[in-house]
Amino acid sequence: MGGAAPTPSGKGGKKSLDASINLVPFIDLLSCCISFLLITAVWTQLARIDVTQKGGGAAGSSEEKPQEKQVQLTLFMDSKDGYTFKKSTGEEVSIPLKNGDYDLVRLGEVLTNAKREHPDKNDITVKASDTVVYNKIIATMDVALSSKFPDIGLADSGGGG
Amino acid sequence: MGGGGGGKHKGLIKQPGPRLGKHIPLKWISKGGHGKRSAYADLNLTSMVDMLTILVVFLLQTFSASGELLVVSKNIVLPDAANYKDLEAAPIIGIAKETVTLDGSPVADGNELAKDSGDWKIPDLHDKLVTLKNNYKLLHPSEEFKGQVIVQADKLIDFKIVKKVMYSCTLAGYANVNFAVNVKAKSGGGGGGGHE
Repeated sequence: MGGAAPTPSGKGGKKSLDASINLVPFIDLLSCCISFLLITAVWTQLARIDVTQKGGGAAGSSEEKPQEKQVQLTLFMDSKDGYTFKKSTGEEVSIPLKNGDYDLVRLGEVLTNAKREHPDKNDITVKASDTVVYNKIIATMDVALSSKFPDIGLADSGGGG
Repeated sequence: MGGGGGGKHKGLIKQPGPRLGKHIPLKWISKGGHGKRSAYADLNLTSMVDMLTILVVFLLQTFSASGELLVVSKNIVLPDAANYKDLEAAPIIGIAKETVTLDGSPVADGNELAKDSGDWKIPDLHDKLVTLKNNYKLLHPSEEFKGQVIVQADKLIDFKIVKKVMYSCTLAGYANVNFAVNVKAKSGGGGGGGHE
Protein backbone atom coordinates (compact mmCIF):
# COMPACT_ATOMS: atom_id res chain seq x y z
CA MET A 1 0.00 0.00 0.00
CA GLY A 2 1.76 3.02 -1.26
CA GLY A 3 5.16 1.88 -0.08
CA ALA A 4 8.50 1.23 -1.60
CA ALA A 5 9.73 -2.24 -0.96
CA PRO A 6 13.33 -2.74 -1.91
CA THR A 7 14.48 -6.30 -1.67
CA PRO A 8 16.52 -6.90 1.46
CA SER A 9 20.06 -7.93 0.78
CA GLY A 10 22.64 -9.51 2.94
CA LYS A 11 22.30 -10.17 6.62
CA GLY A 12 20.56 -6.95 7.55
CA GLY A 13 17.23 -8.48 6.63
CA LYS A 14 15.89 -8.38 10.13
CA LYS A 15 14.75 -4.80 9.95
CA SER A 16 12.05 -4.32 7.32
CA LEU A 17 12.92 -1.88 4.56
CA ASP A 18 9.31 -1.58 3.49
CA ALA A 19 8.56 2.15 3.93
CA SER A 20 4.90 3.04 3.72
CA ILE A 21 3.76 6.58 2.92
CA ASN A 22 1.07 7.92 5.19
CA LEU A 23 -1.81 8.58 2.83
CA VAL A 24 -4.22 10.04 5.35
CA PRO A 25 -3.06 13.70 5.12
CA PHE A 26 -3.00 13.37 1.36
CA ILE A 27 -6.60 12.22 1.37
CA ASP A 28 -7.48 15.09 3.71
CA LEU A 29 -5.95 17.57 1.29
CA LEU A 30 -7.77 16.10 -1.68
CA SER A 31 -11.06 16.09 0.20
CA CYS A 32 -10.65 19.77 1.06
CA CYS A 33 -9.81 20.55 -2.57
CA ILE A 34 -12.88 18.68 -3.79
CA SER A 35 -15.15 20.41 -1.31
CA PHE A 36 -13.84 23.83 -2.27
CA LEU A 37 -14.11 23.18 -6.00
CA LEU A 38 -17.60 21.73 -5.70
CA ILE A 39 -18.81 24.74 -3.73
CA THR A 40 -17.33 27.26 -6.15
CA ALA A 41 -18.19 25.34 -9.30
CA VAL A 42 -20.18 27.13 -12.00
CA TRP A 43 -22.19 24.57 -13.85
CA THR A 44 -23.92 26.80 -16.42
CA GLN A 45 -21.47 28.37 -18.80
CA LEU A 46 -22.76 31.82 -19.68
CA ALA A 47 -21.19 34.37 -21.96
CA ARG A 48 -22.08 37.53 -23.82
CA ILE A 49 -22.39 38.92 -27.31
CA ASP A 50 -21.62 42.58 -27.76
CA VAL A 51 -23.97 44.71 -29.74
CA THR A 52 -24.15 48.39 -30.53
CA GLN A 53 -27.49 49.96 -31.05
CA LYS A 54 -27.95 51.68 -34.35
CA GLY A 55 -30.75 53.96 -35.37
CA GLY A 56 -33.01 55.98 -33.11
CA GLY A 57 -31.59 57.06 -29.78
CA ALA A 58 -28.26 55.38 -30.32
CA ALA A 59 -25.12 57.09 -29.29
CA GLY A 60 -23.33 56.65 -32.59
CA SER A 61 -19.58 56.72 -32.59
CA SER A 62 -18.12 59.94 -33.89
CA GLU A 63 -14.82 58.38 -34.89
CA GLU A 64 -16.21 56.57 -37.89
CA LYS A 65 -14.64 57.23 -41.24
CA PRO A 66 -16.55 59.26 -43.78
CA GLN A 67 -19.41 57.14 -44.98
CA GLU A 68 -18.82 57.81 -48.68
CA LYS A 69 -15.65 55.74 -48.66
CA GLN A 70 -16.95 52.96 -46.45
CA VAL A 71 -19.34 50.41 -47.82
CA GLN A 72 -22.23 49.93 -45.44
CA LEU A 73 -23.40 46.37 -44.97
CA THR A 74 -26.94 45.86 -43.75
CA LEU A 75 -28.78 42.67 -43.09
CA PHE A 76 -32.55 42.89 -42.90
CA MET A 77 -34.50 40.25 -41.01
CA ASP A 78 -38.15 39.63 -41.46
CA SER A 79 -40.24 36.78 -40.14
CA LYS A 80 -41.95 36.39 -43.52
CA ASP A 81 -39.28 37.27 -46.08
CA GLY A 82 -36.22 35.93 -44.33
CA TYR A 83 -32.93 37.75 -44.86
CA THR A 84 -32.11 40.55 -47.24
CA PHE A 85 -28.46 41.50 -47.39
CA LYS A 86 -27.82 44.96 -48.77
CA LYS A 87 -24.70 46.92 -49.53
CA SER A 88 -24.65 50.68 -49.75
CA THR A 89 -23.35 50.23 -53.27
CA GLY A 90 -26.76 48.93 -54.26
CA GLU A 91 -25.98 45.24 -54.38
CA GLU A 92 -28.68 43.13 -52.79
CA VAL A 93 -29.00 39.46 -51.96
CA SER A 94 -32.24 37.92 -50.80
CA ILE A 95 -32.23 34.78 -48.68
CA PRO A 96 -35.79 33.50 -48.28
CA LEU A 97 -36.97 31.26 -45.48
CA LYS A 98 -36.17 27.61 -45.91
CA ASN A 99 -38.82 25.23 -44.57
CA GLY A 100 -40.23 28.07 -42.52
CA ASP A 101 -36.92 28.84 -40.83
CA TYR A 102 -34.08 31.23 -41.50
CA ASP A 103 -31.42 29.84 -43.82
CA LEU A 104 -28.34 30.32 -41.67
CA VAL A 105 -26.12 28.24 -43.95
CA ARG A 106 -26.82 30.43 -46.96
CA LEU A 107 -26.43 33.53 -44.79
CA GLY A 108 -23.03 32.29 -43.68
CA GLU A 109 -21.97 31.89 -47.31
CA VAL A 110 -23.19 35.36 -48.27
CA LEU A 111 -21.47 37.00 -45.32
CA THR A 112 -18.24 35.10 -45.94
CA ASN A 113 -18.28 36.31 -49.54
CA ALA A 114 -18.90 39.86 -48.36
CA LYS A 115 -15.97 39.60 -45.96
CA ARG A 116 -13.79 38.33 -48.78
CA GLU A 117 -14.75 41.32 -50.90
CA HIS A 118 -14.26 43.79 -48.04
CA PRO A 119 -11.60 42.35 -45.74
CA ASP A 120 -11.19 45.63 -43.84
CA LYS A 121 -14.85 45.83 -43.04
CA ASN A 122 -15.62 44.76 -39.48
CA ASP A 123 -19.05 46.17 -38.88
CA ILE A 124 -22.44 45.09 -40.04
CA THR A 125 -25.89 46.28 -39.10
CA VAL A 126 -28.68 43.83 -38.43
CA LYS A 127 -32.11 45.36 -38.87
CA ALA A 128 -34.93 43.24 -37.57
CA SER A 129 -38.65 43.66 -37.74
CA ASP A 130 -40.73 43.63 -34.57
CA THR A 131 -41.99 40.09 -34.95
CA VAL A 132 -38.59 38.44 -35.27
CA VAL A 133 -37.90 36.12 -32.35
CA TYR A 134 -34.91 37.01 -30.18
CA ASN A 135 -33.43 33.54 -30.57
CA LYS A 136 -33.14 34.06 -34.33
CA ILE A 137 -31.42 37.40 -33.89
CA ILE A 138 -28.80 35.82 -31.67
CA ALA A 139 -28.32 33.00 -34.20
CA THR A 140 -27.89 35.60 -36.95
CA MET A 141 -25.38 37.54 -34.91
CA ASP A 142 -23.56 34.32 -34.19
CA VAL A 143 -23.25 33.65 -37.91
CA ALA A 144 -22.03 37.22 -38.48
CA LEU A 145 -19.38 36.75 -35.80
CA SER A 146 -18.33 33.49 -37.42
CA SER A 147 -17.93 35.38 -40.69
CA LYS A 148 -15.47 37.76 -39.01
CA PHE A 149 -17.78 40.71 -38.48
CA PRO A 150 -17.10 41.44 -34.82
CA ASP A 151 -18.78 44.83 -34.68
CA ILE A 152 -22.48 44.14 -34.96
CA GLY A 153 -25.08 46.85 -34.77
CA LEU A 154 -28.70 46.09 -34.04
CA ALA A 155 -31.51 48.30 -35.20
CA ASP A 156 -35.17 48.31 -35.93
CA SER A 157 -35.99 47.70 -39.58
CA GLY A 158 -38.34 50.68 -39.42
CA GLY A 159 -35.27 52.83 -39.32
CA GLY A 160 -35.38 54.66 -36.05
CA GLY A 161 -37.38 55.51 -33.05
CA MET B 1 4.76 -28.15 41.52
CA GLY B 2 1.99 -30.24 40.20
CA GLY B 3 4.16 -32.70 38.53
CA GLY B 4 2.85 -36.02 39.60
CA GLY B 5 -0.83 -35.26 39.92
CA GLY B 6 -1.44 -37.17 43.11
CA GLY B 7 -3.49 -36.31 46.19
CA LYS B 8 -6.89 -34.53 46.25
CA HIS B 9 -6.63 -32.93 42.85
CA LYS B 10 -6.00 -35.96 40.94
CA GLY B 11 -7.24 -35.64 37.40
CA LEU B 12 -7.30 -31.85 37.38
CA ILE B 13 -3.65 -31.30 36.87
CA LYS B 14 -2.08 -33.24 34.12
CA GLN B 15 1.41 -33.51 33.01
CA PRO B 16 2.03 -31.34 29.96
CA GLY B 17 2.63 -33.14 26.74
CA PRO B 18 4.87 -32.02 23.92
CA ARG B 19 4.53 -28.34 22.86
CA LEU B 20 5.54 -26.54 19.69
CA GLY B 21 8.62 -24.52 20.27
CA LYS B 22 9.31 -21.13 18.85
CA HIS B 23 11.91 -22.62 16.64
CA ILE B 24 9.35 -24.53 14.62
CA PRO B 25 8.75 -22.49 11.39
CA LEU B 26 5.10 -23.32 10.88
CA LYS B 27 3.26 -20.03 10.73
CA TRP B 28 -0.19 -21.50 10.62
CA ILE B 29 0.49 -23.25 13.84
CA SER B 30 2.22 -20.38 15.62
CA LYS B 31 -0.69 -18.03 14.72
CA GLY B 32 -2.98 -20.21 16.69
CA GLY B 33 -5.48 -21.59 14.21
CA HIS B 34 -9.14 -20.58 13.85
CA GLY B 35 -10.93 -17.54 15.30
CA LYS B 36 -7.97 -15.38 16.04
CA ARG B 37 -7.98 -13.21 12.91
CA SER B 38 -6.76 -9.68 13.41
CA ALA B 39 -9.44 -7.08 14.16
CA TYR B 40 -7.80 -4.55 11.81
CA ALA B 41 -9.21 -4.56 8.26
CA ASP B 42 -6.69 -3.21 5.84
CA LEU B 43 -8.36 -0.67 3.50
CA ASN B 44 -6.77 -0.30 0.12
CA LEU B 45 -6.31 3.48 -0.10
CA THR B 46 -4.53 3.64 -3.44
CA SER B 47 -7.69 3.37 -5.54
CA MET B 48 -9.38 5.92 -3.31
CA VAL B 49 -6.55 8.40 -3.79
CA ASP B 50 -6.69 7.76 -7.54
CA MET B 51 -10.39 8.54 -7.60
CA LEU B 52 -9.95 11.72 -5.54
CA THR B 53 -7.15 12.90 -7.81
CA ILE B 54 -9.26 12.39 -10.91
CA LEU B 55 -12.11 14.31 -9.25
CA VAL B 56 -9.80 17.20 -8.37
CA VAL B 57 -8.45 17.36 -11.93
CA PHE B 58 -11.96 17.34 -13.40
CA LEU B 59 -13.19 20.07 -11.06
CA LEU B 60 -10.11 22.20 -11.71
CA GLN B 61 -10.76 21.96 -15.44
CA THR B 62 -14.31 23.19 -15.03
CA PHE B 63 -13.28 25.88 -12.55
CA SER B 64 -14.25 29.37 -13.56
CA ALA B 65 -12.10 32.12 -12.07
CA SER B 66 -14.69 34.80 -12.74
CA GLY B 67 -17.32 33.00 -10.69
CA GLU B 68 -21.03 33.18 -11.27
CA LEU B 69 -21.83 36.70 -12.40
CA LEU B 70 -25.20 35.91 -13.79
CA VAL B 71 -28.02 33.99 -12.21
CA VAL B 72 -30.61 33.09 -14.80
CA SER B 73 -34.20 33.39 -13.71
CA LYS B 74 -36.42 30.35 -13.79
CA ASN B 75 -38.68 31.73 -16.52
CA ILE B 76 -35.87 32.79 -18.85
CA VAL B 77 -34.28 30.39 -21.30
CA LEU B 78 -31.20 31.92 -22.85
CA PRO B 79 -30.32 31.36 -26.52
CA ASP B 80 -27.15 29.53 -27.50
CA ALA B 81 -24.16 31.02 -29.28
CA ALA B 82 -20.82 29.63 -30.34
CA ASN B 83 -19.03 32.98 -30.67
CA TYR B 84 -18.89 34.79 -27.39
CA LYS B 85 -16.91 36.83 -24.89
CA ASP B 86 -16.56 36.50 -21.15
CA LEU B 87 -19.11 38.19 -18.96
CA GLU B 88 -18.22 41.27 -16.98
CA ALA B 89 -19.97 42.72 -13.99
CA ALA B 90 -22.73 45.11 -15.06
CA PRO B 91 -26.38 45.83 -14.31
CA ILE B 92 -28.52 42.90 -15.42
CA ILE B 93 -31.80 43.37 -17.22
CA GLY B 94 -33.96 40.28 -17.37
CA ILE B 95 -36.64 40.05 -20.05
CA ALA B 96 -39.19 37.33 -19.54
CA LYS B 97 -42.58 37.04 -21.21
CA GLU B 98 -44.41 38.43 -18.21
CA THR B 99 -42.04 40.97 -16.80
CA VAL B 100 -38.88 42.99 -17.27
CA THR B 101 -36.53 43.23 -14.31
CA LEU B 102 -33.47 45.25 -13.45
CA ASP B 103 -31.15 43.45 -11.04
CA GLY B 104 -34.09 41.36 -9.91
CA SER B 105 -36.62 44.10 -9.27
CA PRO B 106 -39.47 44.45 -11.77
CA VAL B 107 -39.50 47.59 -13.89
CA ALA B 108 -42.08 46.88 -16.57
CA ASP B 109 -44.84 44.50 -17.54
CA GLY B 110 -44.04 42.31 -20.51
CA ASN B 111 -47.59 42.25 -21.83
CA GLU B 112 -47.75 46.02 -21.83
CA LEU B 113 -44.48 46.23 -23.74
CA ALA B 114 -45.72 43.75 -26.31
CA LYS B 115 -48.50 46.13 -27.27
CA ASP B 116 -47.91 48.63 -30.01
CA SER B 117 -47.20 52.01 -28.57
CA GLY B 118 -45.56 55.09 -29.93
CA ASP B 119 -43.11 55.57 -27.13
CA TRP B 120 -40.26 53.09 -26.87
CA LYS B 121 -38.98 54.43 -23.59
CA ILE B 122 -39.61 52.37 -20.45
CA PRO B 123 -39.74 55.08 -17.75
CA ASP B 124 -39.01 52.93 -14.68
CA LEU B 125 -36.10 51.17 -16.34
CA HIS B 126 -34.69 54.42 -17.63
CA ASP B 127 -34.89 56.16 -14.25
CA LYS B 128 -33.29 53.29 -12.37
CA LEU B 129 -30.50 53.02 -14.90
CA VAL B 130 -29.82 56.74 -14.62
CA THR B 131 -29.64 56.35 -10.84
CA LEU B 132 -27.23 53.44 -11.23
CA LYS B 133 -25.09 55.45 -13.59
CA ASN B 134 -24.95 58.41 -11.23
CA ASN B 135 -24.09 56.13 -8.33
CA TYR B 136 -21.30 54.53 -10.31
CA LYS B 137 -19.82 57.88 -11.24
CA LEU B 138 -20.02 59.00 -7.64
CA LEU B 139 -18.42 55.85 -6.27
CA HIS B 140 -15.77 55.51 -8.99
CA PRO B 141 -14.74 59.07 -9.79
CA SER B 142 -11.41 58.05 -11.29
CA GLU B 143 -12.81 55.33 -13.54
CA GLU B 144 -14.37 55.82 -16.90
CA PHE B 145 -18.02 54.85 -17.13
CA LYS B 146 -18.28 52.04 -19.68
CA GLY B 147 -22.03 52.15 -20.04
CA GLN B 148 -22.23 48.40 -20.04
CA VAL B 149 -25.41 46.49 -19.34
CA ILE B 150 -26.22 42.80 -19.62
CA VAL B 151 -29.52 41.83 -21.20
CA GLN B 152 -30.69 38.33 -20.47
CA ALA B 153 -33.79 37.74 -22.51
CA ASP B 154 -35.89 34.67 -23.04
CA LYS B 155 -35.18 33.19 -26.42
CA LEU B 156 -38.82 33.32 -27.52
CA ILE B 157 -39.26 37.03 -26.84
CA ASP B 158 -40.15 39.25 -29.78
CA PHE B 159 -37.60 41.77 -30.92
CA LYS B 160 -40.11 44.51 -30.21
CA ILE B 161 -39.59 44.20 -26.44
CA VAL B 162 -35.82 43.87 -26.74
CA LYS B 163 -35.80 46.96 -28.92
CA LYS B 164 -37.63 49.00 -26.29
CA VAL B 165 -35.28 47.84 -23.55
CA MET B 166 -32.23 48.68 -25.67
CA TYR B 167 -33.66 52.07 -26.49
CA SER B 168 -34.23 52.85 -22.81
CA CYS B 169 -30.70 51.69 -21.98
CA THR B 170 -29.19 53.93 -24.63
CA LEU B 171 -31.25 56.89 -23.47
CA ALA B 172 -29.99 56.34 -19.93
CA GLY B 173 -26.39 56.33 -21.13
CA TYR B 174 -25.83 52.59 -21.34
CA ALA B 175 -24.83 52.25 -24.99
CA ASN B 176 -22.80 49.10 -24.55
CA VAL B 177 -25.43 46.37 -24.51
CA ASN B 178 -24.40 42.77 -24.01
CA PHE B 179 -26.70 39.85 -24.69
CA ALA B 180 -26.24 36.95 -22.31
CA VAL B 181 -26.07 33.59 -24.05
CA ASN B 182 -25.46 29.98 -23.22
CA VAL B 183 -22.14 28.74 -24.48
CA LYS B 184 -22.60 26.32 -27.35
CA ALA B 185 -19.82 24.04 -28.52
CA LYS B 186 -18.89 24.55 -32.15
CA SER B 187 -20.07 21.74 -34.33
CA GLY B 188 -17.58 22.17 -37.15
CA GLY B 189 -13.84 21.84 -36.95
CA GLY B 190 -13.09 25.35 -38.12
CA GLY B 191 -10.84 27.30 -35.79
CA GLY B 192 -10.52 26.26 -32.19
CA GLY B 193 -13.30 27.47 -29.90
CA GLY B 194 -15.66 30.34 -30.02
CA HIS B 195 -14.02 32.43 -27.36
CA GLU B 196 -12.94 35.80 -28.59
